[in-house]
Amino acid sequence: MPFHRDRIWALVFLALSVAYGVEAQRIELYFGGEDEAFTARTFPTALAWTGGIVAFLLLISPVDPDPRPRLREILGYDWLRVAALLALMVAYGLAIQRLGFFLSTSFFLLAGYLLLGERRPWMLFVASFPVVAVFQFLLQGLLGIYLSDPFLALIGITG
Amino acid sequence: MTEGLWIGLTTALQPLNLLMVMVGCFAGTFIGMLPGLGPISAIALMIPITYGLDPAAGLILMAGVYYGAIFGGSTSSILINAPGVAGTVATAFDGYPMAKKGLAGKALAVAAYASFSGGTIAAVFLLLAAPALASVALSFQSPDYFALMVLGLTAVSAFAGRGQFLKALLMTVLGLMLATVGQDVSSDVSRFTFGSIDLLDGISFLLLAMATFALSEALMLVLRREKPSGEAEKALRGGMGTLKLDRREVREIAPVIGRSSLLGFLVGVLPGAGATIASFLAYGMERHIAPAKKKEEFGRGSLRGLAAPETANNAACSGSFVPLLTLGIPGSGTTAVMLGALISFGIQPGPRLFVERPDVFWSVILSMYVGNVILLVLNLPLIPYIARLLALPRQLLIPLILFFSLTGVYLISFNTFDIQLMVLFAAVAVVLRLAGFPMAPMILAFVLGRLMEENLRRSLLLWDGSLAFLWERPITLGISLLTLLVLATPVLQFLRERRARTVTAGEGG
Repeated sequence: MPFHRDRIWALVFLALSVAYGVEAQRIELYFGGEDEAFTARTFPTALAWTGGIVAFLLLISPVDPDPRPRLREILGYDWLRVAALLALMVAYGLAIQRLGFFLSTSFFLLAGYLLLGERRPWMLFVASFPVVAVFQFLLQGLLGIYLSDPFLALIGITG
Repeated sequence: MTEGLWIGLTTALQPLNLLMVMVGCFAGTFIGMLPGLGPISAIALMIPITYGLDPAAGLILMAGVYYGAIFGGSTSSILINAPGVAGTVATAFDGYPMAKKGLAGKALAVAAYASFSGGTIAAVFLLLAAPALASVALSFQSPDYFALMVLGLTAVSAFAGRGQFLKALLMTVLGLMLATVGQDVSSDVSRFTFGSIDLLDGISFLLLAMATFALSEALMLVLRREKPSGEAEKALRGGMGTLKLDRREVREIAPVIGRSSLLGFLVGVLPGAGATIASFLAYGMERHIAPAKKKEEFGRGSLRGLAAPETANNAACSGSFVPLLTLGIPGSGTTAVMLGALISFGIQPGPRLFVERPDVFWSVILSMYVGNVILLVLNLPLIPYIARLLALPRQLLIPLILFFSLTGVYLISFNTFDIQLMVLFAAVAVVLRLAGFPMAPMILAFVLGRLMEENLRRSLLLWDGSLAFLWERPITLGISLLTLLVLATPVLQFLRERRARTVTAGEGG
């Protein structure tokens, strides 16, 4: 069986189905539940079997000898920038409640523009802080969605 | 039906709902125009806005976005040969050569007239077919629904594309697995939560849709270093030319539009087929039946070649609402996202919708017609200006898409765990996309997961744990046999191709 990425993915899904199936057997049942026609385990168990069988079929089925995009092409993609954007989103998730919506979102946008190559200072400013201010005004002022914001509270804009 | 039509008309023509269709069409046109972002992303981005609206207005907005996205996809196909959505790939075959000849305006006009006609004719078909099917579906029971969902999911996988059947099936199973995370509805037992309180309510549908479509599509643009704006600037600098069609041209495309509307609608009704297959089938059919002289024009800027896929993809969009509105079973990724949104509004689409919420049922159908009018009357003249948005720098656009996606989900739950989960799903989706795993079957399965489990539970309890429910009722048996047929199609196709290859190799050797 030659080395092929579809086969690797088939193995990944096979492992996932097995792990899911094992976890499905750990789902708690009420006393005597094992004898019922349908329990909380029934559907997950059926899914684990189906996933395993389909993954196995993918493993043994003929593969595309020249899959696109090619591995060389994939390795040449801009992975670093995507990884940085993912890290930025994680950081945004961690900061939003500590820094508040306004500051965290403005910095998120600013960093995003910078990461993707925007260098004009006026553009960096205009497309971040004012955009978030307008968005937040629309949310709080017009739609009545309250956003807790320690920074805006500190400078006396919100309560 | 007349009463329902009247309710729908008055609801669809309310000022707020008219505004929703307009906003939807414009927003959809813009998002659909951006290469890489399709109607699923466009609708997903709109969902947080719809939560503040009543269900009819929300669904009308989403229907407008759907049509707008398809129309926007045609615009980028024609102007820069970069289809925003898969359903408009065939549009580029003749639309782009027309634009290169300096006939961009005419190509856009043909696309708009064809979309309008296809959408309008299909809306009439929908008007007739939906209530009829809904009446039949009222006699459906749990086994029928379960079998229908299995059929829908199988069909989506079978139509996923050449050599992708097993991958699409795996994505379907993955979507169903994700749907089982959280508290079990019938027993209140927690499943696959690994002790996390954040997962007790399950994974939010909006979170998954945003992560696997809007976020991952935006990240794919960064990954591939795609720069659509340069091409757009070049196209826009070249000018649009006239938007008018002469009488001969109208006579040429009129029969094409009639045929493609019917074909598109029928294909759209089939679960899983959708706008992409409809547009390719219509293109192929028109090329096949065209006179020899006209056949040569295909691929070089043929009006027929442009009108056929454009009509069919819009007609298919209307067709795909038939199973959603009447059976509560979406036939495509896009209508799956709409189903998810409807469920979060507290509305369960299906045959009862026709009886219990005629305002929603009829206003959605009629707003499709209104949406088509708006696309033609407002969007077409504005296209040269809207198209300038294509030139918006990528470095500004992508962070804004990420921001709208993340905050759209955060503002509903106010839980930062959701942001982290989104990032994780988006990263996995990017990797899976590169490996050729389609996302639409996964989201469709996720949306249907809980309904499917519930119907399986009821069926098994009624049949005392036996799987005989799949063949004991004639309707269920018919649906089950159809599922087997759909499952067999890719297998038979593969065997036929292998036999053909063997024969060719034998002759060669």
